[in-house]
Amino acid sequence: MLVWELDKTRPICPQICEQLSVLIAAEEFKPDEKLLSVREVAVKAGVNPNTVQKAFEQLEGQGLIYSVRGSGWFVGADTESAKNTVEELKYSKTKDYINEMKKLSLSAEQVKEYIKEWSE
Amino acid sequence: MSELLKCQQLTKDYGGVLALNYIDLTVESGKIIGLLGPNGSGKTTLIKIINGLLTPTSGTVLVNGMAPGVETKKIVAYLPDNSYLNSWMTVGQIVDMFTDFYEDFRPELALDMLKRLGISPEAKLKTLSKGNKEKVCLILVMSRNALLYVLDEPIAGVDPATRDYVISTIINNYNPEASVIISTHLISDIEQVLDEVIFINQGNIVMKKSVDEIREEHGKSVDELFREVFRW
Amino acid sequence: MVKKLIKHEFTAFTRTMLPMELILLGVALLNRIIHLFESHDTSYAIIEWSSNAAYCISLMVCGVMTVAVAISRFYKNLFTSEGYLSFTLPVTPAQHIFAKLLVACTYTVITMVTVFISICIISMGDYLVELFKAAGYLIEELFAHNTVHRIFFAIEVLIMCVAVGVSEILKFYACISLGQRAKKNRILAAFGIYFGYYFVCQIFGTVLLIGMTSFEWEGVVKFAVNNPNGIIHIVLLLIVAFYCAMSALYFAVSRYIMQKRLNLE
Repeated sequence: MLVWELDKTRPICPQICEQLSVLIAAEEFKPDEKLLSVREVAVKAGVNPNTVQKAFEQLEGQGLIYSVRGSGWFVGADTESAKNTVEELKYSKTKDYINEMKKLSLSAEQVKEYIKEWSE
Repeated sequence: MSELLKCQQLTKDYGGVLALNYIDLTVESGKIIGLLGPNGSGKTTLIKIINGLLTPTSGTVLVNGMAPGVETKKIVAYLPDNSYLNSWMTVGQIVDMFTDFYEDFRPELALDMLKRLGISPEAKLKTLSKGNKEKVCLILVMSRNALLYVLDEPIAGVDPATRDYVISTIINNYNPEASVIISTHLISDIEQVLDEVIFINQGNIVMKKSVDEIREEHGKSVDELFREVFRW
Repeated sequence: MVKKLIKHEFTAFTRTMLPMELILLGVALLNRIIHLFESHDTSYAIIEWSSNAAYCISLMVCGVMTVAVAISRFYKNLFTSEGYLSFTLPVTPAQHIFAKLLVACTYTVITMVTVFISICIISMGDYLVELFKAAGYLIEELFAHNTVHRIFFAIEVLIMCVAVGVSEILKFYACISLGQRAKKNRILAAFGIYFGYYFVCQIFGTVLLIGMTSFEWEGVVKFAVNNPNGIIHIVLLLIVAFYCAMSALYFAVSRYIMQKRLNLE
């Protein structure tokens, strides 16, 4: 399960969207399964419920989740966009990592070496 | 979204020292707002005026359209920055007192929260630890179904566990129709919870912006920005 | 809301005052028991003397504490950190003053009753019977002649006592409230105002007395001679009216400061 660790230098709302996308892409929540409530996410992540509400609405806009009046939020049938978000996340995180390594003047070759070492 | 709090040209002069310097400020309902500033910047003065404990030198303050008085006290839940409860009273007596005076107070909720902390209603306030005393005060305030919550330095001088408890209690009891104003000089602990921050320095409102706006524009946390700009 | 304020105020008073009243009654009882063993021993004399002293002291403590608690409740509950709660309750300043005044008056009466009971305890037995007989005789004598007027006098004196008591308590309140206008040393300021005001009143009274000597009293004297009862009624009622006016003034001053000029530290 995911820990709600947020980057303090980036806006909170998109981070909540990403984290929820990761949860859904990893099938922690299956299509049509009930999602956590706004309040639960807010308390777990220690963030403002309004921000979580906004994040949920954005995800709804992407068709990733849908709300049922009076009973909360559910995962949509189409988890494609969640997967896309996760793909983007993978891409950008890796890019960040490579950039960091460049700063440490680590060549791409060396990076590959390390990765190989760690994967074994 | 209505204007829950409106200050116009609000001034407080402590005999030559301007604690508030002609402040204009509006707070809408449905927000958690951080009132941030170094010690002595005017945060507590503003809060005390909102609660009718201080008389402004000039200017007006309106809470839900009314000047501070009996009607505003019914809808404002206030947590002072000092311990203000009678230390000889028991927790239960204080709960009874809040039940008596505040129509919006929910004793079952307060007693339930106290029970979960293992604080007995028979316990006398003076026998409680500092952390527990702070928690009791917060529980009393958050157990009201108020329109405006004003919390003055709720996390100053408490241990990290208590701080987490305070933050999660605020989030847990937050009601989207109400607004919460939290004053603090410890920004990093609380900025994630805030919609907006009002930065106040030497009696002036320096900035009023949303947390995500600040992070977007500056690429850094609110805490970092203020440390940089105001060199705390 | 006033009812609830009174309830909480009464609880707070009782917390300090009840033990005091009980001690007074206890000491009186002890005193009475000691007297049962009356003898000519030196040791008895010492014990008797100390128990009498203890009774006198507790009598004084009880009286002083009633006033002290009345004053300190007003100051502490409103103008110290407790004021942060008191003034954020949905209650008006007038209701605060009224509740505090009413409970202070009630406890003054309670203390008087306790003192009376303690006297009864001390003089239990033949003494008490004599005491009541004497009191009964006195009352009988008092109302034997001129009954209607004298009953009204008694009522007027009673009202006067209440008016004086109320105005004394409200004077303390007004001085404490005025002391809050000071930037620092607000308690000291309150004391200063109280004694300053006392002096002003003394001087004013003296001036008034001197002024009265030059007043033409003939008409008044004539009226007094013709209406001996009427003049007493008029004087008593004037005193009552004066103290009521002063009470209203003190009340208004305290209320104004709490409503319009509050500056809690």
